[in-house]
Amino acid sequence: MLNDKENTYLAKWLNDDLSFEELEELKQLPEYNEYKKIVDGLTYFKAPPFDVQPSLATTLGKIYRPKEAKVINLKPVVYTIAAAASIILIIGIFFNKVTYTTNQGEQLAVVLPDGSSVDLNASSTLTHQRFFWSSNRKINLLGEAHFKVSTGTNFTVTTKLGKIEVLGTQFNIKDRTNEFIVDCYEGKVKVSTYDNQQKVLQKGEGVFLKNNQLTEETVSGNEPMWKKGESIFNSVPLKNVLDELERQYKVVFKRNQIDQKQLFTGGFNYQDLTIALESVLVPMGVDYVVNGSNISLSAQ
Amino acid sequence: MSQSSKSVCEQPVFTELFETHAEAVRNFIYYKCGDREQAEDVMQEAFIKLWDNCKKVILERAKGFLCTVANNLFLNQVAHKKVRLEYSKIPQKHKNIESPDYVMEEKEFMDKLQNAIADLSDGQREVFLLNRIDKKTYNEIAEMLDISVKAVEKRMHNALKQLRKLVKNI
Repeated sequence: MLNDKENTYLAKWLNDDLSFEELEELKQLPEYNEYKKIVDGLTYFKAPPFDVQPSLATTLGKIYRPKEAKVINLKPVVYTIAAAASIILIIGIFFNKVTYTTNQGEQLAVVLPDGSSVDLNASSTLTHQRFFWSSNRKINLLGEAHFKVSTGTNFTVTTKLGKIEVLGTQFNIKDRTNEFIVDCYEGKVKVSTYDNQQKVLQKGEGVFLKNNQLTEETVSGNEPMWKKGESIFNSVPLKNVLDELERQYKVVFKRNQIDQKQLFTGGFNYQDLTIALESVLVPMGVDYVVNGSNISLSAQ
Repeated sequence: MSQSSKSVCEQPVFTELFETHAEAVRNFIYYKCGDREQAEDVMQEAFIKLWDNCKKVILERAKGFLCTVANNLFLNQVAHKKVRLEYSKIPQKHKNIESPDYVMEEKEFMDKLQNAIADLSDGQREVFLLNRIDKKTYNEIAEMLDISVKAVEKRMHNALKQLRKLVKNI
């Protein structure tokens, strides 16, 4: 029974698991006494002494020892910065803008990359994308400008108050504070405001915003008067006329003593301040005192 | 299987675990490598790993975790010494016949046995000594080594057979 190869009778014996018969059989084996001697001898062996508390203290010490400061390699940061820089560069190339600005009393003629020309009136700003502009002709305008657009894809001018789309034509846009006028001198122009009013203008037609409504007007001549050095107004509040005077001449009006809501019809030229002031203020019954670039206004 | 609500991350629980299992784990490694310092280091490493992973190890599995980690740490340290257990005194069965010859014989036998233990395979020795010296049951040893009880019995059986052969041949 004990000779079975799969039998771990010695393990059972050590564990006191042998049946009485098996135990008797084991005791009959010649090796039994030697096994017994080994097992007895083993009882005298012992593991090295072990002190729990000092060992625990050492272990806890290792656990709570402050972690060494991590060394962070600089390289990845450099790569990150390099990557970020190239992204910014690429974005910069795609979103880089060209800006033209005129100050008070200045006019500027600009030729756009597609050959279209723009004349900027005083105190105006025009911006467009520097790269790939010709395939997507979009322009932002603040102020007043006259466009001669070469034929091509859609040409869009975005202003504060409305959007103007054309194919190839000549038109003038005036987008000033509370004033939005588009005049068409050639071809067709589509004007849309941001509250979805739309108007298609033919040659000789114009629109302006009156109480937030697009109102039609007729346009005479082949180009806006301002290009000839004159401003013409037709029933326009005095405030807008004074604004235009400030833009054309480097002056500032003191206006608190006059009624700016009176309507003005007429014009002024850009050559001589005194003549311009006379032509606007005398018909309106306004006195003025020039003091450098400051002009005080008072009712007569 | 109900899980204990106690977390290994609580220091009193950890301390209790250490007090309960540290010596067993130390001996377990010692029976493999025979180096007291190394065994102590491996055991402490294992406890540190347990602390680092305290959120992942439930209390019931802590002992198994310790043994597995200690075993792996030990396997990573290639070199190890021969296991030489000390014995406390020479067995004296029959106090009446303490002849010098008898003492000599017994001394000789114990030395042989000491060498024989050292020459056992690692697997046999760790199981045999855990049972004989640390009085671990076969079940406990199986759990510590992550092997079956049957395998433990096999190793016990063969270890004793091997010891007899070694003692006789030397």
